[in-house]
Amino acid sequence: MRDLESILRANEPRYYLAVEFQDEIIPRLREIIEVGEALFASKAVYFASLVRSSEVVNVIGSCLRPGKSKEIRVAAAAGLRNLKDGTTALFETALSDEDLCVRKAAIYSLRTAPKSFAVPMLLKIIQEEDLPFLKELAAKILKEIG
Amino acid sequence: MNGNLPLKCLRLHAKVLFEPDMEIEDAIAKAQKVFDSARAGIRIDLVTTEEIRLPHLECLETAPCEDNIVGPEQEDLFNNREDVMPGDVVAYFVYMTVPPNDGCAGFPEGKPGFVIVHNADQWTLAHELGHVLGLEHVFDRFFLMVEGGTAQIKDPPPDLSAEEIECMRDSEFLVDCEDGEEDGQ
Repeated sequence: MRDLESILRANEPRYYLAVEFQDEIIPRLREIIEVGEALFASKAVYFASLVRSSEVVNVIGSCLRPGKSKEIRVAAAAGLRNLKDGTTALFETALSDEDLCVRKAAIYSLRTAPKSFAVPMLLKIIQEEDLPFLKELAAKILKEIG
Repeated sequence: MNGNLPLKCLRLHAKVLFEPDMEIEDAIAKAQKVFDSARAGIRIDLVTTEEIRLPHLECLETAPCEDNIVGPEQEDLFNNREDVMPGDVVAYFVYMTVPPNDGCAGFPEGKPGFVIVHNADQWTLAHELGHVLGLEHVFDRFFLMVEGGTAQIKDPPPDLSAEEIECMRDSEFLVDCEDGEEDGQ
């Protein structure tokens, strides 16, 4: 088993190594997310999204809460692109975040969401989002996924 | 170890989308300290510093940095080369990358540069610059290019091997210094 901290302390973490981990690593990831400094913790959030565990949805959901730091919320919104199921409410939370970075990461994540869900979400963003560049991004991704 | 190598210069520009926690001059001084202590004969000249307002790129979506490929947002960011000569290197200071990295040294062809996040470690700029100059990761915590992260560096300033110095000095992004100094250390 590789050393989690060594992976996450790297300047450019090898996130693909997350597939080597399962449920047993979740408590340690939660601990890093709670007490680690912002950059280290944000790496742990994104790494968690790639771990093969049913707990991942709960980890990412807790990281999207408004009280969490911006780095954590952005990493969680980006992590949504790696989740398969149970993400509807998480996307809604991320897409209504006050921070544009969180919303942008969530829009990018819609690229890999089920089309039946992603298309209405993207149409809603195009209609309701205030920032022109996020509207444009949503339109671009809508065109990509068709 | 390297004798007095003819001094080569790297023309660096700073484009600031988000103000870093560490002063840019201090980060560059750290990189210079690495080069000087290794007697690499490389001088970093900070040519320009510019604040640029690109809120849509402050949290920059990046391709996997280790593959040295770039995504559309990196292409967009690296097009910002105002007042930058061909071959000059640009350091772009952003809030964070997505996925989270300390920095990222992938750059589009002909637009050398790298990205640094606002809360990067003191040696990150030097590390990313090392990548731009052709260096790969190593597995020794005494070295700048340590794979496990510059925050883990032991006994700073971090080292450069003779091979790494040779590699960097061969980079097309280093030029002869106009004042023709030698590394006198």
